[in-house]
Amino acid sequence: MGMPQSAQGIAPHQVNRPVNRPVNRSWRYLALDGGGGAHLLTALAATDPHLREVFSPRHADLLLVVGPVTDRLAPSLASMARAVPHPAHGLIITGASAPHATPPGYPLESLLPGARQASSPTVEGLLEAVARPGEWPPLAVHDVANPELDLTSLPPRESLEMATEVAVLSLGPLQPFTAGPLRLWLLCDGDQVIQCHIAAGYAARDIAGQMRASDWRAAGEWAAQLDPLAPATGAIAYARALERLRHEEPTEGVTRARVGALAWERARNWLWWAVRFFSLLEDAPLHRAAFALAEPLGISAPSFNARHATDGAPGHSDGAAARVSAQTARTLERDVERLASRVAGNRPLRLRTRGIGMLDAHALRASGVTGPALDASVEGRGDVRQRLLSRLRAARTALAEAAEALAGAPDTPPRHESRYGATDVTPAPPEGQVETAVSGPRGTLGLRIVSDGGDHPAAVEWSRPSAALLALVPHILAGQKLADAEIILASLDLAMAEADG
Amino acid sequence: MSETTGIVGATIRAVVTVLALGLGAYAVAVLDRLLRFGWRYASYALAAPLREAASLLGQEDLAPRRGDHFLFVSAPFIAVATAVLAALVLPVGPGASGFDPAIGLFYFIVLLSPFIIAIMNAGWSQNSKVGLFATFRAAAHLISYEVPLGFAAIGAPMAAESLAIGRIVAAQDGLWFGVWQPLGVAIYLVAALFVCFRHPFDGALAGPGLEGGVLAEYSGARLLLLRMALDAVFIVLMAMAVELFFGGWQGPLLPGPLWFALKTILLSAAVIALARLVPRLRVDQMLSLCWKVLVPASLVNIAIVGVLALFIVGGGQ
Repeated sequence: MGMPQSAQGIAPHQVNRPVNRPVNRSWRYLALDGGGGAHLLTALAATDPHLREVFSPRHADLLLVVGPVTDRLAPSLASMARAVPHPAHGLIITGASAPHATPPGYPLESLLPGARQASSPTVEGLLEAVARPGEWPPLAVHDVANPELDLTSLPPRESLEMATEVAVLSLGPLQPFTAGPLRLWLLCDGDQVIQCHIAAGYAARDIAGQMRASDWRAAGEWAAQLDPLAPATGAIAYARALERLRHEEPTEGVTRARVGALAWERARNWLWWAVRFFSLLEDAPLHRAAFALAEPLGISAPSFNARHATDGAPGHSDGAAARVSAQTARTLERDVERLASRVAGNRPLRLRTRGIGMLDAHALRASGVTGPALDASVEGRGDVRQRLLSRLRAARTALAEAAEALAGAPDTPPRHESRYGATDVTPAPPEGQVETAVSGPRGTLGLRIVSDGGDHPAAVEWSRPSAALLALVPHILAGQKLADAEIILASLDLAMAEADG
Repeated sequence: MSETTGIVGATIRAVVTVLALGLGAYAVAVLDRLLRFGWRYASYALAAPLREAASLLGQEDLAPRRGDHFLFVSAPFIAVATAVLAALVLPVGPGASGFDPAIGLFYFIVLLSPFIIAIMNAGWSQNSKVGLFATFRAAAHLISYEVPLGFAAIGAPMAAESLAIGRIVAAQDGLWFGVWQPLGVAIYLVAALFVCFRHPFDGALAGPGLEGGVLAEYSGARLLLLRMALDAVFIVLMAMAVELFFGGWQGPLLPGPLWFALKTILLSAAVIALARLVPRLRVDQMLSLCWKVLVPASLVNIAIVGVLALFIVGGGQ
């Protein structure tokens, strides 16, 4: 489950391990993230010099797609692929999905025929796919119907104060400022953003609907996929809900393991976000420092097995491995503190991030925003710089929590007593309705679940922290400079898969 | 007969300049990669620019459907031509330059403007919003760098009492101008980063925000030419800094051209490494830096140089 990677068989060095088959040429890749590939793509951009990220399809000779890609996103992907000059190739990376819950998505094999598949959603798997010998057909794109017209209209001229000549700049849906697809229309007067409109839903998989249609075990797997970047958060929220429906209390070992898993997941997300943020600013020293901290935490949690998802007991291979991870967390805690101090004392960075994208704490609370975005507004000015510092400090605290929880791990993995035996069947809970809340990387993830005693949930409702923040984006970006708007959007750390649900 | 010899000599000098500039652009591309990934990827850094060039040459050369085709196609050639023409006045040894006009420095600074114009044309001609926004940013560069660059560079001809590059280098026989004009050196190098759109002043090419900015619609050979031109102009500017402030080809033991190349590469590496310490700046921050800091500082530099040139040995000859 969402435990330290070293304890789960995914070694910390996985991100940067030299590929067995050397990459024998340089690639310029354009990355398209369907919603769950942010950490992987960030690691890839920082890891291997043979693959260089570009941001225009015209500059690419490799199209790299991290699935799943929804039906709504597919037309944008197709038009992007058609803009890549030939010869070029395609590479598809699909996440390791849970056995009973495969995310609905457009069949990429038919959209990009001839594209290779990476063996695993890791940097290593990706490099191996690129270096694999054998025939690799050139990039081809099948036609895909576009169900929507991506149009927006200019507001009446008299409604725009001081505007001289307004231009609409369309960013997205595939853009690097959010983790996953989001389309923005920025009405700009020169470099000044006058208005912002957003179109979300490109990563929507209707997780709540899928959970309602699944049995109680598969529903847990769906819960883990709500935010592919933070699967433990969704799974633990669901596990807690099930426990409350059954009027059970988790054992101390399970509770401790969950605390460790959640803390580890928060730290991992915040540190990878920092790598991404410094990369956007092109601040090389800070980017390198943040990458050195994020890398030991791994890029993804391993897939959840059915029992883990439903009993919510993050598993260790053994207690010794967990204690090694605790030591890693302690070391990282000190290093994160050092990075936060460096950031606080960095004058050029302060010049670039201070006083922009300021958010008022009252407005955030009224909109239901939680997590680091709110903390930054409560602790300080609520600008981009404060959000950066707040996340780094929160990452340090999370690592301390993880270290404490993991240090006391028992030699055998903590589990619920085998009340339901070793079968894969999760019995239906009794009738009832519960609400749970779990502290995730982007804020408090809430879950309301209703059971009518049947073999699947009667009602499921998620309260998603990214969605609350997303609703404020037009208000936040209006009046900003275009170059700032990008930085501000990146500072919000929106996970679009979670926001779209 | 002598006219034929002159034409042949000029052709040889032009070809040598183009080849040297190509090598210089390659060196910048290697330095970029070395400083980014470290020495353990040295073999990669040496091979990657050549591999990438070969890959771009073999790729489709697309043009935007409703763009200004003439401007779109001509922009890479104008950019490269500007870099070559500017490089002609750089002597690599006594009398060893493409040509050595009496107004060498003036000629050099004037030629940098068409380069920016070429970059603006590249953005404007694409018939796309990102290209248009990037063109605005490039235009901001044009009005930003010229004054401080010219004022910073003027310290050297003030001391040498000549605009001819060869005479400026010869005047540094005893003491490099850079030693007693550090402010001029700093201003010149910052302004040089403006000219060639290098980080942290690369808003017009800004990667993620504007999808490659002025380069967004270029592919294949034309993209290669534009990238080479950007690197070439950078190395030309660094080479001019070596001529103006670091004694040009002068140095013990080694041949003059080798000293010149060595100093240019070292200065380029230092500037790239230092620039990487700063995050990308916004356009208005670039303009503030230019008009509120660089221009006043360059005026102060002129005053200081004017006084010091009267007293320092080697200055005010």
